[in-house]
Amino acid sequence: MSATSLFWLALLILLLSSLSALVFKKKGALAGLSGTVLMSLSSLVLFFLACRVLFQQVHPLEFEIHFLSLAIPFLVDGLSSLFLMLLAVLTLSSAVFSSAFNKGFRTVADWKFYSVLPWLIAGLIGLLTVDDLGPGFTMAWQLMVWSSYFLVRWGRQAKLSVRPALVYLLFMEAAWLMIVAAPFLVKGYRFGAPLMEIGKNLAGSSQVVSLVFFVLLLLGFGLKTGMFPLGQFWIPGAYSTASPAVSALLAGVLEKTGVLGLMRIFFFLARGAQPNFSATFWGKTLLMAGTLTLFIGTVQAIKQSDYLRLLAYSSIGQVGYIIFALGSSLLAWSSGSATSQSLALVIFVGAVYHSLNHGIFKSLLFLMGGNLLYSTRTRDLNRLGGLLAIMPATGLLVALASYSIAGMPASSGFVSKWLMISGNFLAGRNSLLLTLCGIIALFTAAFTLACYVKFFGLAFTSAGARWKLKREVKEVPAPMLIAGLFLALICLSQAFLPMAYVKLISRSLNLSEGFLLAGSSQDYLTGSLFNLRIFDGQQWLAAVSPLVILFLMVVLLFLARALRQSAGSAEVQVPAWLCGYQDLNQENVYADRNMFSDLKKFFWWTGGNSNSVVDDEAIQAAKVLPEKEADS
Amino acid sequence: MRIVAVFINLLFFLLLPPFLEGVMRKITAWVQSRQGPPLYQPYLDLLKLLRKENLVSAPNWAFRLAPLLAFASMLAAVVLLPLHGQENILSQKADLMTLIYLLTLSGFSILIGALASGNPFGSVGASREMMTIIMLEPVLTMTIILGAVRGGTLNLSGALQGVASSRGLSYFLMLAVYLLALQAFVSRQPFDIPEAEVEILEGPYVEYSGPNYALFRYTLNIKRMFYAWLLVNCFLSFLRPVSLFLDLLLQVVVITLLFVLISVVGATHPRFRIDQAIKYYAFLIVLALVAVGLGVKGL
Repeated sequence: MSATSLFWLALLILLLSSLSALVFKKKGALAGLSGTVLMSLSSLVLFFLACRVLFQQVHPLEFEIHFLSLAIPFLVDGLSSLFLMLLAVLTLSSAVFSSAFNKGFRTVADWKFYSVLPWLIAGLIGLLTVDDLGPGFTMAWQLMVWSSYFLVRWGRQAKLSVRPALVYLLFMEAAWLMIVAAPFLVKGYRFGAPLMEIGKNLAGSSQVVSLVFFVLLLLGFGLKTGMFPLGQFWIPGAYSTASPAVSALLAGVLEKTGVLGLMRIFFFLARGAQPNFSATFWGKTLLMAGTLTLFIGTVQAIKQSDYLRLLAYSSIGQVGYIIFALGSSLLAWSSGSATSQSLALVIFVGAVYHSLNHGIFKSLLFLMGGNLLYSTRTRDLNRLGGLLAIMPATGLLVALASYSIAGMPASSGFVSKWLMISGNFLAGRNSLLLTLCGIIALFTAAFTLACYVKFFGLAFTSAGARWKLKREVKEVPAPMLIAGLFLALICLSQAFLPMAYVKLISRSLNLSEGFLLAGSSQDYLTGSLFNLRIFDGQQWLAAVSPLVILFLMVVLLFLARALRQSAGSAEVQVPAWLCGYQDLNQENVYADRNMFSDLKKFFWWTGGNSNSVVDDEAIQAAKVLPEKEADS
Repeated sequence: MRIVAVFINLLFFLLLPPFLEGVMRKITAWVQSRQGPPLYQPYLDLLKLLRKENLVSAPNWAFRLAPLLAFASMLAAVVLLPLHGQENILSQKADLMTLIYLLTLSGFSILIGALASGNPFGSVGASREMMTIIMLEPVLTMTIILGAVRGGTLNLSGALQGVASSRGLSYFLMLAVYLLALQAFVSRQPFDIPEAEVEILEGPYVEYSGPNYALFRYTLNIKRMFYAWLLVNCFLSFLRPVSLFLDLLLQVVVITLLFVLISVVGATHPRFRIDQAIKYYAFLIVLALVAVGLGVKGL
């Protein structure tokens, strides 16, 4: 079977899946079953397609479809195959997850959910493969926007979801308008032209036109990825409203289509537009935008008590890292020296790596957030605590994902941040801007850590849920955990086999034609199973070795354990000690809103301060919106 | 030698820290007109703690793992350190990013332990500890980054030597910042806000006792010595004697002197509130940024 027919097969199965949900309108369970099976099947086909392109082809897969009088160009090259792989993996996990989630937590009829979700996936496939900014792009974008609009709208009851869904729709349409309008400015633009052609046309246009062109595209794709301050308008609302399985796709892939868009514009299209494209200027712009995004997004995440909003804000922060890396890569490349250009490639590989990592661990976090929501019916961290004893599997998976996203040593986040930030520092020896932005990126990691300490610490450890929740909490059904486990295993492979992923990314870049950094030497980044290193001649400049660090940690942990048990001390269980006057109870347990309060005050100027959490149950019970809790 | 160096590091950082605590207690006692315990008292304390009952207030893995993880990651960080300016077999596999993150991991484990205990005092302490990590880590990071920018490399021996490679404006400014931050790095008064015995009962450690507490105490001691070690090996690396033995001896002397200084400051200053401390740290961050900026410009 040819790669093109695999592509159509995947879309056909998605169409079938949507239709079957409509057929089984009356029988919700059957609609769910057929949807899950067919979507899983199509994700397998998609994965196979991506592998086929990556490992068997020498050239990118290109084809056109003719629609009315227009020819729509499709391009499946190395980079889009990588993102298709991510999409396939996340589709599978989301499909499996929602098969169980929707049974116990129904916000909308099954047939509606399952008739729309395939369209979202089809739209995403389209966005990752369409190679124009005209008709094909419009079709894919609108498919993606409208289907996800309905999914967000149906994520919660009308009172809570109409507004965020509408805001989401409006901003996405604005982004579409900017992206589609931009090329019309270019001299000689043919509606439906492939990106490369637009790039060449741009070279013949005036300076002003190309400036406006790039600004519009940056804004358009920036809106999609969540660049500061655009992301803050819609991301927190949309991600925390949609069903967690959908949010996992939104944060995992939908956001990444924006990242891919930025890569296509600034690293592919720009190559053709060379005389009218200043890599220094755009590098600086992206670098500063990315640094702002990563810092502000992460600091805002700390302030949230609604854990789904916390995850949403934190994905703004994480995408900030990717934009930051794209900017510093461009800036390093523009400096012209061979060393910097190779480092630019290292940073770019880091950006792609981080996109994949973030896709996996953020989806995992959203799914596990879904587990929490499913069992506790609250999204308020103030009401949780001590769930580790009741939901041990979910707790372990959240711990792994949090550890990874915080970029602690020997985790997937550590490897990708290492690639981006060490490349940045090495390229930025003589550039104040690069160094300062690198420092901000490095210490924002501590804020990320604080976010997830808060999330894991106050939901799973600590205490509180046993008094504050009116229901009996249980561990979730197996499919939801299996979906999580699947992602967790991929997350671990990203942590411990960095060389495999770096090789995969390099391969995909070699398979992408017209790449701006194609001339840079790849010798700088060398590695073995055990480590990755950045070299300059004989001298090594930076190194990371997850397996060695893991081994070291395990040995030292056993040493610590031996020390702890060296005198044969016995373990005795006691209640928490509160000076002997009180036992731990509802009144004195530590609530989330108090966590980091002085730091929140110190960073009030970063915004995102409102911290009211509204639970669906509270509304059903009271039938009125509770007064907003103002948090100082 | 490259393998032996790992063990020398390990022994150096396991044997010396309790002695340094003894120095601190002795000096503090003198300032307060007391006689103070003998210098070897902290070793006895550790041994005694190891033999006591291990009280567990929350039977979950996070509570039990936290002390182990804190201790192990702190040791992992110190064995990576170059000995006598030379990389050992492990520091060839890691760079300063690994070092910084391992230090953060150690602090993070204390937080998780505190939150896992379920005790509200522990949670208050954890919240304060995290705020301190957030605001102080940049200062530490920038000290090493200055070296990385100067030396053009992220490997540890190169970056640490880079700090003092030329002693211009950025060197002296960063040294001043480091000295101003030292008291906070070692979390002694006026910056022992996360622990604050009389206020929140040792904060994060409130529920820990016996061997678990011994591990936390040990970790804290090693951490304190690490920050003094870093000062010696970053800012004074140009004074390094040729012989390894003399080098270690000189380090011990200077580190002990630094601890005398820390104890005197600690014994004579009342504790800050956390909001005051955050502002102070923010000031240090700005100064450190200026220092790095000057370093990039070659000053």
